[in-house]
Order: sequence, then structure tokens, then C-alpha cells
Amino acid sequence: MSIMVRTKIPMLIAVILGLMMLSDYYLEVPPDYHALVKDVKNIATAIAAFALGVGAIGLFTRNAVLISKRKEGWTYGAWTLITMISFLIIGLSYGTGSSIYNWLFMNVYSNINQAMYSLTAFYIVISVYRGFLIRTWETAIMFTMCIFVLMGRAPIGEWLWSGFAAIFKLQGDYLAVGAITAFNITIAIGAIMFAIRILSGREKASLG
Amino acid sequence: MNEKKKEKHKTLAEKIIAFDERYLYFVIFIIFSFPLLKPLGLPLVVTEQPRKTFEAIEALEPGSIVVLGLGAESGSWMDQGPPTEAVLTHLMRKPGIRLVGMTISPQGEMFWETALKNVGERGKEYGVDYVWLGFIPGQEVGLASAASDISECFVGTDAYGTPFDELPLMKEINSANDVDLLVVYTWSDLGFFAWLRQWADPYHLKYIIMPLGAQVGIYISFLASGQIYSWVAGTRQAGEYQLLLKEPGPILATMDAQSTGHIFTVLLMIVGNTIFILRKRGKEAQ
Repeated sequence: MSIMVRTKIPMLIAVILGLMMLSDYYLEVPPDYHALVKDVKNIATAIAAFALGVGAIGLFTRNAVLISKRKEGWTYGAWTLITMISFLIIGLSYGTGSSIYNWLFMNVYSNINQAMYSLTAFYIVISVYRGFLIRTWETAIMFTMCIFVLMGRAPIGEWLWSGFAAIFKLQGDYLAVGAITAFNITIAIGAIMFAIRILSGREKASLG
Repeated sequence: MNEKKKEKHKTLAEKIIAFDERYLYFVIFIIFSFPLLKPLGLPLVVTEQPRKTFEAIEALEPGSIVVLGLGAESGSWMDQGPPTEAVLTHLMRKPGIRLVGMTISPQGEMFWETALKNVGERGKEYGVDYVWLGFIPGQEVGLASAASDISECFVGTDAYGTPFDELPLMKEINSANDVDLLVVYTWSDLGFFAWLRQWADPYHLKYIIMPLGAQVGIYISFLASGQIYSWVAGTRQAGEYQLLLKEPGPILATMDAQSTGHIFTVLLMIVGNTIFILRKRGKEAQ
């Protein structure tokens, strides 16, 4: 019975709902059936909203355990909880549109986040200096194209020589399109196969 | 004594390789920040995609409804915020255009307030010319729900709790069928594909995106296939869009920083490879 509950029933729900969505998308269906599919989508949206709350509870629980057992990095867990609870209390008390919530988000959280991402600029430049070495003819070609992309993207490249922008456009319109399209087609075929596995009840990874 | 002799007889290449990287971090900081304080004023050429976006919005008939998907995140706002505000400026200042905004990112609500504050209403009235519907949970599922019935998805109210009955604009749009143009801020593949699969492709909408500057290489095949109509990607194209709007802003100064940064990166690449080749030849000679 537990196997039935844990695997078979969820799989059956996934197959039925998946086929419903597919049929509504590709076939001419009666209005009542279309309305039913719309209701299912709305229910799924509501469940997703609850999932956000479950995620927050999970984060709280995990960090609480980390702090109580004084595991490595517990101070970061404490800071996470303090920040989470502060935003929760301020958001519920004053509203997410209030000036204090806005100030905390834009001037503290957002700025810290952006500063962290901006550090990648330093790492990228250093890694390019240390690691982008021409060892084979393939890397020589990549090196050359990299120069044209860097110079073509920046206004100074066009100011120095118009050829940089022209070559950058050519590599984008022809080389990059071909390569990326091949990747995208491969990914799409993989996604279709995964969907077929779910709809035929063979895929257990989605059950957790 | 021997150590000092070795130090003295080190080649230039070896000295450069042994150079402490922390000095290089400082140099990088100066290279990127100096043009922000003293702009070089390099000319900026308007490229094809921002021009195409500009013309698409200019071509909209009065009364057209544009949906703005603002899936903003704080980590990417520095690169995607400027093009978003540039396009939003255009949408808000063009008479007759009506705007409905929503987001699948929890942070999108905060950035909507920021963007609107920076751009201003420009004569448009809330509820009549523009409405902010707020956050939809569930990513793609939420978008699928909104595309088929906006009123049911948002439970008949906007982000501020105002019922749709009190918002004249919401009487004219209830699904993606009523939309004339889709403009989306997308920083992740998840957001991009969700809007493409649930709004743009099924309802045959013109799909304009504002991705990260570095993401254009990923989405270029969708541009070639026509699934994306055009884009305004990154700070560079935001500067170009501001030139088209004839409202140049501080973004143009960051273009100078980008120029100096790119030049410096290219120089470092050439220096790094020169040293590598010289060392290789030195070892082969030995």
C-alpha cells in the first residue's frame, strides 16, 4: 500500500494531468474541458504559492538545527534567520510597499547582492590573464574570436576600427547561431524524451 | 646570498608571473572606476536590435496593450535595470500605449516600484493607462494560468488589492489574446522559456526581451528563428536606447568603463600569452 501511495498514485496523477494539458494545447477541445484545464492551472498556481511558504519553513528548520547543534558555519545560519525574521516582521507590520521595507531591500540587500556579483569582474579578468593560453590551434581560434568579441562589444572597439563591430556581428549571425541552435535542438529533444517518460509513467526522478 | 642572486637574474617574464595578483586587482579597480568619475565621451553606435525594439514600440497604434514581465532579481539589476528603465520610459511617454505589468520573480515587485519611481508616470494614470498586477507564484504554471485567464489567476485584484472592476484597463484585457506586444525582463533561462512557451508562441505575440548582456549568445538562435522579435541587452544597448529616446543618462559613462575594461582585458590576454610563448621557447632551447 505504501508503494502505491508513494509512487503509483503520484505517477498516475502526473500522467493524467500531463495528458490533459497536452490535449488542451494541441487539440480542439469542448469549452467545458478547456475550463477544467484552466481550473487545474489555477490550482497548481495556488499550490506553488504554498510551496514558497514550505520552502521558507524548511530554511528556518534547517538553520535552527544548525544553530542548536553548533555545527560548522552556525553563525551564518543565525544571520540568515535574523535577516529572514526581520524582513518577515517588517513586511507583515508595515507592508512590502512601505518605505522602511523598500529602504532595507534596495539599500541593504540589493546593494550587497550586486556588490557580490560585481566581484566576478575581477575573477574573470585574472582568470583570463592566467588561464587563457594558446596551446593548440583550436585555442588560437578561440583566442582570436574572443579578442574580436571583446573589442566589438565595447564602444572603443568601433572607435578604433569599424572592422571589430563587423566581425563581431558576423560571428554572432553565423557562427554563434549555428552552434547554439545545435545545443538548443539537443536540449529540446532531451526535454521531449523526459516528458514522454513522465507521461508513460517510467520516470521516477520527479517523484523525489 | 644565492637567493638574492637568483632574484636579480630573474627574467622579465618570471617577474611578471610572480607579480602579486592583489596589485592587479587594484589596477582593475582603477581601470573600471576612473571613467565613471571622468567620462571619456566615446561615441556610441546604435546597433540593430535596440533600433528594432524602438521602432516596434513606435509603430504601436494608440490603445495597444503591452504586457511587461518584470522578472527582476537584485543580482542582475545593474545590467538589466537600465534597459528595462529605458524601454519603460518609452512605453510610459508614448501616448495611447497601455501597460500591464506582472512578475514571476518575488523580487520583481520591489523593482517595479524602483523603476516606476525612476521613470515617472509621464502623464499616464494608474488603472486607466497602466496597471501592476504583481507576483504570480509557480513560474511557468503561473504564466500558463495568467495567459488563459488573467482575472482568475490574480483573483480579480491587482497587486494593491484594487478589484479589476475599479480598473478600466482590466476590462479590456483578460488573456494573452488581448495583448499586442510582450516585453520581458529575463535573467534566467527559466523565465525566458516560460514566457516564450506560455505567452509568445501559443498566442503569436511579438516577444521583446531585456536579457543580460552576456546572454545574447544563448538566445541568438531564437532571434534567428523569429521567436524573439528583438532585444535590448545589457547596459551598452540601454545607452543606445537612451540615445534613440534622446534622453541620455548616466549609463553612457559606464560605457567608457566597459571600453577601458575590455581594452585592459585584451592587453592582459596578449601579455599572458606572450609570456607563455617566451617561457615555452626558453624551455625548448634548454
